[in-house]
Amino acid sequence: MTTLEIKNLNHYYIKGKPVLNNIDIDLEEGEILSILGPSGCGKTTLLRIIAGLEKEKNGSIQINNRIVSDHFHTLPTEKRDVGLVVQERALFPHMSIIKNVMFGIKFNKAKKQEIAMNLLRLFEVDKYAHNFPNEISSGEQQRVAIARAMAPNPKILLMDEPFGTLDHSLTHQLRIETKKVLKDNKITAIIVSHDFDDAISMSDRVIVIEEGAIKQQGTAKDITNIVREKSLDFSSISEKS
Amino acid sequence: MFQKYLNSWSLLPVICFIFFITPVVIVISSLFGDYSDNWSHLYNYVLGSYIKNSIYLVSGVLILVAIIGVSTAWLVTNYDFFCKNILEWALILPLAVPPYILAYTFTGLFDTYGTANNLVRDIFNLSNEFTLFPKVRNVPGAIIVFSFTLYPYVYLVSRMAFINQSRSILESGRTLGLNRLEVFYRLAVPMIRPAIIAGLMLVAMETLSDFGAVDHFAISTFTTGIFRTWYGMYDIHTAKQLASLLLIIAIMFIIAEKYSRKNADYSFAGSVFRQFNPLKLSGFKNFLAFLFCFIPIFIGFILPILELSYWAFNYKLDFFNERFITTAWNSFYLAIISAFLCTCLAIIINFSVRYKSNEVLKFLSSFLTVGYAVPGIILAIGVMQLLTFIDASFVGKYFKFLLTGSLIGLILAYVIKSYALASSTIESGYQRVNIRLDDVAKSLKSSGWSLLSSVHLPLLKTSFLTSVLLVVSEVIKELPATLILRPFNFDTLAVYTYIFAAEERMYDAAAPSISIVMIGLLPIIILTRMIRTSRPARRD
Repeated sequence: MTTLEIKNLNHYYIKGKPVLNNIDIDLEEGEILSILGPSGCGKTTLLRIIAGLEKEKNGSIQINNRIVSDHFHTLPTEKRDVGLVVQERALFPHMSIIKNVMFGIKFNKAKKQEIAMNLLRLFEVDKYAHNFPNEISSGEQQRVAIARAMAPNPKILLMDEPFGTLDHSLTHQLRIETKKVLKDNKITAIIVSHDFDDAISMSDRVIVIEEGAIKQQGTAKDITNIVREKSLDFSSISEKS
Repeated sequence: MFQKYLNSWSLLPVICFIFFITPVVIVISSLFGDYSDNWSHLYNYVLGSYIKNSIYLVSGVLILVAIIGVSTAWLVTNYDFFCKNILEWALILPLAVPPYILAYTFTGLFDTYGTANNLVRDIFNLSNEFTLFPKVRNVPGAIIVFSFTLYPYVYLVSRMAFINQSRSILESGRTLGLNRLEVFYRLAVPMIRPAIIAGLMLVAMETLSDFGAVDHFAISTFTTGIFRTWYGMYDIHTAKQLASLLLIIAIMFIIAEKYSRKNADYSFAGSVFRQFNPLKLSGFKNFLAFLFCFIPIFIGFILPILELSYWAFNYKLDFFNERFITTAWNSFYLAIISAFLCTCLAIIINFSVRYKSNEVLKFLSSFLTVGYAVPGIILAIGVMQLLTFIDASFVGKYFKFLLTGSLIGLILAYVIKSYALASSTIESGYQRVNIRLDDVAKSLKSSGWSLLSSVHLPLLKTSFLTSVLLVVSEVIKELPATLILRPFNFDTLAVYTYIFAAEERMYDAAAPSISIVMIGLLPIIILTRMIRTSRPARRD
């Protein structure tokens, strides 16, 4: 079943200078897609448009066979059933960890707590449930941010540079953990990154965007082979960023 | 297209816009009506003196304020001297003293039989005719009063600008042969010129719109003229025409202030910031720097507090009488209601701008802050006319009460006048709330009121409190609008002080004056805490 369908999506801030150009993407249920590209290529804009935080100039977006945005109407973010994880983590500083995770769950208090604790356990941060965000490390904060985004059981999880500010060893460990949780729970996800390793290790499929257009797409293995065959230097993407 | 601009979140800013602009439009519209004989009289005989006195007053105040504000800011940011850490924040204390209270203290101190002259005569056993201190009820006296109460506006912006100034540029000046004084006036001051001008424009607006001090010194300016025309000649139409002229001048200052603020940080572009150590002064220079910073605090804060306390405790020990308590209570609840109203409006409007980011809302929001520059007397005339119109066409017909002469008009005027304070405090609070929190909250199905109440409000608690305190102190001080719009037999601390001072009963004016200063000190204390935590050149 197709979870996300983007058709002929175009976007610009200044007329004549497209930010996104004829983007078509299909995403199957449980699939993890990485969008890879240098900074300023439009990948974060694409993610924000899918989330409903920005309105595309034209094109259409369907989530779970429901049109969430096209020429005629647009559903606001809160009605799209998407989870969002941002690079800065953006945990609510005035709420404890468990309250952060409970924030988006719409059940009674006991059920909310149960769901939140299960997720915190899944990411092994349950011992910090009653701490505040400033009392835990950045890696733990990122785990909480992902747990919080997953808590309302969204149709798609959108992750914008989720490991961008973490050190190398922590990133490696979190990639493995996050991928396992996403796969075990059959969560459809889009990960936006400028890091080739993030994209390849986390996802089933990779799309490479440059200057607002899709330049390459395929499985993680395909993209790795293309890189090897053409001796492409993907580190340049990271450097540009 | 229209959906983007017209939604439920635009409603409150639009309603506020209508209520904020109507009083001003009412006043300005008088310029296009008939001109009475009173206008001809004013035009032929007194308008010239209003303009002349206003020019003298504003020019004198601007020069003195620029000298005090900029020099003290330069000293505390660049030098280390005796008591510098205390003086650095104490220099803003005079902000708690409204000019009219310093004016009352000055006359009480320096009049022929004032405390200072009496003291000199007693000490040196001189005759009653002897006066040491010159008369203060004149334009130079008013210049001193305004300068020593308003200089903190310039001090605050200059200090912040000097703190952010590039050390490297100043040091380059030294290597190019400038001495420390030349670096100050040839490099440092020109580089922060826009910030200084913005501060000076605020001072000019405050000076022009003051009523209490100039009235006490019997100086003919626009505000005293408007008052006399209305209450002396009973000609509100001519009073409005006079007010329109004052408003046009105020608008010119607003434009200059906004323009200067836009360019306020041009001097910092591309500069490299380095930590630096203030130069330690010793000997006579150390004493001189201390004295230079201490004098403004002494004249603007310590002297009035000493004099008021002396009056209050030596001449009127039973000042906590029933009338005083009633008046203080009136001031208190009016100020609290206005402060909460102002702050809630500021929160909802700033939230609307952030939540439904569009140009129309941004314009409306920034327009609403212009009310602070409209002199209280003009606002009062406009609000009164607006309420009279609403009473005549609607409220008076269908209800058994009138808005005119009720507290509603007073609160409306306070809200319009103080909205800028509340809005700028909430806006700066919002700048510290990461916009990504909103994105994430929306993805967690929290939007609109839920986003405001569960995410924003808890994070804006401090800003909320600061805003309430700032507006409370502003409302407690407000005199001309209160004098015009208060219901019959309804006094506030400011009016109570004014009435006693007008009757030259300075001792009776002491207790309400001290109360006003003490309440005004609350937001100043918060400001001083902020000053103590902002230290020079933290950015490397």
